[in-house]
Amino acid sequence: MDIPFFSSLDSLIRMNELKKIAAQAAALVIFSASVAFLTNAVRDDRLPLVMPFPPSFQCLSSEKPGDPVSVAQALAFFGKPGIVFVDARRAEAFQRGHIEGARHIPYSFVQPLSKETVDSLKGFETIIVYCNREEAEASKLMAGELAQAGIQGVVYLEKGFVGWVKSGGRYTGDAPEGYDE
Amino acid sequence: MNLMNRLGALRSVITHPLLPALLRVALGAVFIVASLDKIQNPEAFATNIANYRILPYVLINGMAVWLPWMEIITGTFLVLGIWTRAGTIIACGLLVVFSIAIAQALVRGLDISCGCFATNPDSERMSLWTLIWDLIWLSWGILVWLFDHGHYSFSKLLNRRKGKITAP
Repeated sequence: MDIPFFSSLDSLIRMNELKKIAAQAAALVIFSASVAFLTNAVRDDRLPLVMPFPPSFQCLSSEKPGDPVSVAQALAFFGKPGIVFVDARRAEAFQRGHIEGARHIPYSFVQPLSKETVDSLKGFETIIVYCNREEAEASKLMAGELAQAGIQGVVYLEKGFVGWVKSGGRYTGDAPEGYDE
Repeated sequence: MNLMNRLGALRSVITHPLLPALLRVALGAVFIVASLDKIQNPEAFATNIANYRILPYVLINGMAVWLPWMEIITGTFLVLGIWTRAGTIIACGLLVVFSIAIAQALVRGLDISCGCFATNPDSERMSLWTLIWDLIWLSWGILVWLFDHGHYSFSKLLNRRKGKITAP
């Protein structure tokens, strides 16, 4: 027979047991985090807790960053058949302004390029990937990733969209952020 | 021997205090061994985490610093049998997270090394077996949670000593 007093006492004990386990688990997490961050702070090869972007390493899928192409070379390529410019920036930046005729393929550090995207670039002779500036690593990483995926003739634009506009390259929309007339 | 007897025998093996204790120690040892290379090479481990491509970059280094210490401390507690249930729940939680990370990498076809025991990105590539092993360790954790009642543990030893001292 189930006696209400004893069953409620039993559930109370169980609840207390669960609370105790949760408290111990929380203590373990806090203790390990404290040891980890203190140890990291005192070691010579410490890691910065927030990785600066662009990451100081390359993803394995793009072990080698793509090869560069200068703005002068890119200007010479512009408008020729078999050449495509790929804008690796976010949608807002692309909508604000981009190299004339460029394709928009935003690069995500988290999401690898899809097979469809890679396939859609296979027919081109030269693919020039760009961001706003040279130091915006997305274009290097994306060029590297495309090259790893078997795309031939993929390069990234040195000095980026800013350098392109400064050199008189044609573009649609507004000049990029960081472009000082 | 009929089926019921066989099941009874199996149950008595599973519920014998020695088996969950052994699984607990083995699981703890797995966690300790897994953490050593990561603690020594946090930068390489950060690369391993980044290669899974599921975490935003701002969290990668913090995770690379914290995770190995979480593993070694949880592993040590499991081996010694201190706060066993809390240690088990953390170990199982970590294994669930690792399994999800491995599964998504396999589904997305990422050609990466697991980073489970060695941080060298050129070490053995991840395969379905990596996921299977994670699930096996997860099952050990569940068995420990269900059947380990603190026998053969440091806590039990301490309690026994305390009992001897306080006994009249």
